[in-house]
Amino acid sequence: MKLSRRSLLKYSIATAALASGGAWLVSPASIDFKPMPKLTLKPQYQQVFWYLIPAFLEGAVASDDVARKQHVLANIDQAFSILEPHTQAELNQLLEILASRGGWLLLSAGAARLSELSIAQRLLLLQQWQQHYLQLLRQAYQGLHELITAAWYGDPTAWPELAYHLPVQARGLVND
Amino acid sequence: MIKDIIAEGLASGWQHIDGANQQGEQELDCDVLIIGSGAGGGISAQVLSQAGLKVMVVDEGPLKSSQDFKMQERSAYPDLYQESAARKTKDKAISIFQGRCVGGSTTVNWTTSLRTPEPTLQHWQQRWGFKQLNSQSLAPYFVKAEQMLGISPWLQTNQNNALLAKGCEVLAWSYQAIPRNVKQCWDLGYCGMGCPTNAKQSMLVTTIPAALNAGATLLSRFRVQTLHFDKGAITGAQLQALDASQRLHGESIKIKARQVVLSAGAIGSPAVLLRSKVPDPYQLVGKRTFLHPSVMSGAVFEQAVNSHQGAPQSVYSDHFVWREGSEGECGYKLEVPPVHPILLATKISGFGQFHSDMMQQINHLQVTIALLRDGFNEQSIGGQVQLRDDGSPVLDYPISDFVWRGARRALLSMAELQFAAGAKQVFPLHEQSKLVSSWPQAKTMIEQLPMQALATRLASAHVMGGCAMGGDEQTSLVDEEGNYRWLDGLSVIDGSVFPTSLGANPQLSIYAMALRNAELLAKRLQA
Repeated sequence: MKLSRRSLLKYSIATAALASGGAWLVSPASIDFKPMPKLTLKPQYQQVFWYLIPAFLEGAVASDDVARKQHVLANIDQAFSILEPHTQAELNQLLEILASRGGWLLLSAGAARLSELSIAQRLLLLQQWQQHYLQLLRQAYQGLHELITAAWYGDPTAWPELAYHLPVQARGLVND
Repeated sequence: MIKDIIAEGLASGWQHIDGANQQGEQELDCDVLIIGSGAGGGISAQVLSQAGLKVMVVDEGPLKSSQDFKMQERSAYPDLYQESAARKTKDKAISIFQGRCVGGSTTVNWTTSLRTPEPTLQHWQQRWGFKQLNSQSLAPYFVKAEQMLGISPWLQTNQNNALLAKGCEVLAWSYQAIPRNVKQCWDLGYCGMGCPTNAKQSMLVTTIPAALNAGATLLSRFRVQTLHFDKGAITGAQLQALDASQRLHGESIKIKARQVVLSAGAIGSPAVLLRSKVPDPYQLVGKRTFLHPSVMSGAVFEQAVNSHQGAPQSVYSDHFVWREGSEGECGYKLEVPPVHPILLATKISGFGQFHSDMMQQINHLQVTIALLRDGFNEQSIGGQVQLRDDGSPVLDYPISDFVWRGARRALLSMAELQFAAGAKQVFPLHEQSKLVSSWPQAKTMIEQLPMQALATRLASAHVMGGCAMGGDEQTSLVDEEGNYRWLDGLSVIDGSVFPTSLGANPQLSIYAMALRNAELLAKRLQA
């Protein structure tokens, strides 16, 4: 049976609730980073990106580079705000799963909280999602991949390290 | 300083209503309402307004001009593309790039302008009952479109295209130069972000200005919610205004029209028909929608390739398109895409250090794409446009084993080509792929890669079908003049009328068919 995001959300919450019979698993993970003010993304969602950014962008954005991670997060927030309502709704559902304790347990196959994983463990988790037999997890992985990589590499501040620049003929043509 | 055609036109008195400024309800009337301003709508607007008809053209995207085009994907995608260039098929397996701005996809395409292939037209005659449309009857319209839009082969090739040609030469595969719709092109390479020099002869700078000069009215940032009809005939349409962020803001316009030309593209046009619940006795609306699903292969070269600079596409190879006959195994066309940061970052598979290493190689990457020719075989029936709960369209496109077989062959061909051109390493875009250093290694790996949705990376910039044209009312929605069979006063003039994909980039095919059918419509309306 093909699972929709909505059904996975229900499934994950139900599984978590049944497994423990308690509220802990359906509650959001605690916030253990400093959320950025003025972003439209909820702090719990920001936190998911905060810990996935240095994994997706390893080699470009280091775990301890707070300024660069904040820059990417702000770009993600901006990109998120202009997505179509149906895409926003789907991503919100995904982030809700990732940000809840029960959902995280299900999608991480029992791994510790995202904030407690080392970079190597986060990379391993991404590899599992990337090649998972469930199409839904591959969709989730690719959705996050697009949002995070576009947020960094679409920004001109990333370009000098790539030696990517506008053509010489264009100098003076665009004034941005 | 580049002349701003749009700003000057507006200053000279063009009639333009921007949905973002719409306040209150309004009723307007016209002879012809054209829905969409891309290849089909733009041509129709010029032909019908110059014939003296009162024309209104509506587009759900904004009106932009050359000075808005900043050569940056991060602003171009949300401003100019459907769903911020993040549109995907229902299962998210295929990325779909379509324009959403005045000029439609012609404002953001890569300028490749090819006539409809002869085998495609023959297939349409043999399988889809075409009697009027063939290469002879379309030839004058191809010539006219080519003259109007400056279409001729582009002989300067950037390294990205030159390496495609080199690989073909080494392997003795056929290849040709690509004709482009440009005049005084600066060869910048940023066609996909809107042309900042007005060199690209898109509908934004050609037919739409011509129509406005002839008295047409343009409505930008308006979404056509439903068509109105009564007693089997069209009476008009209901439009909803969008704000600067492309969100509905509650205002609407009702337009009375004796004729509607539907040119909203192969996802948009079926969506309007589905929302309007038009008569469709054989349930064909939105069915058989095609994409030319495209697989991609990256290759690292020792020398700089700089695939982001210069004409994006100037060489193609049709060596594998018709090899098995039009109805045989899935053929594929080889082309190259421009390689800009967001496009590369989002399409190249992998993450972490591998991904950043590949991004570091951006100036040394040659990328080839293979466009799979779908719709010609009974095992390749394309997808279906559906409506979400909010009325927005989504394309359900399950990928058949037939298409997957073509995808694997195409990945093999591209790797072989890239190594023949001198690639140091090749990376087929697949979630389980690895960088390989020789053609034998590539062959072994590609033969073992699972061909499945969300593993093999797929993209498309060509959406066709969904309102099929043909000779049989049980299998086609419109006749060969574009008339909708079940409502008077409704024509469909865009790529949605193709009964299969084309096996070629679609803009020139749409221009030629639109010229013919808009001229025939003008005569009928004037009679």
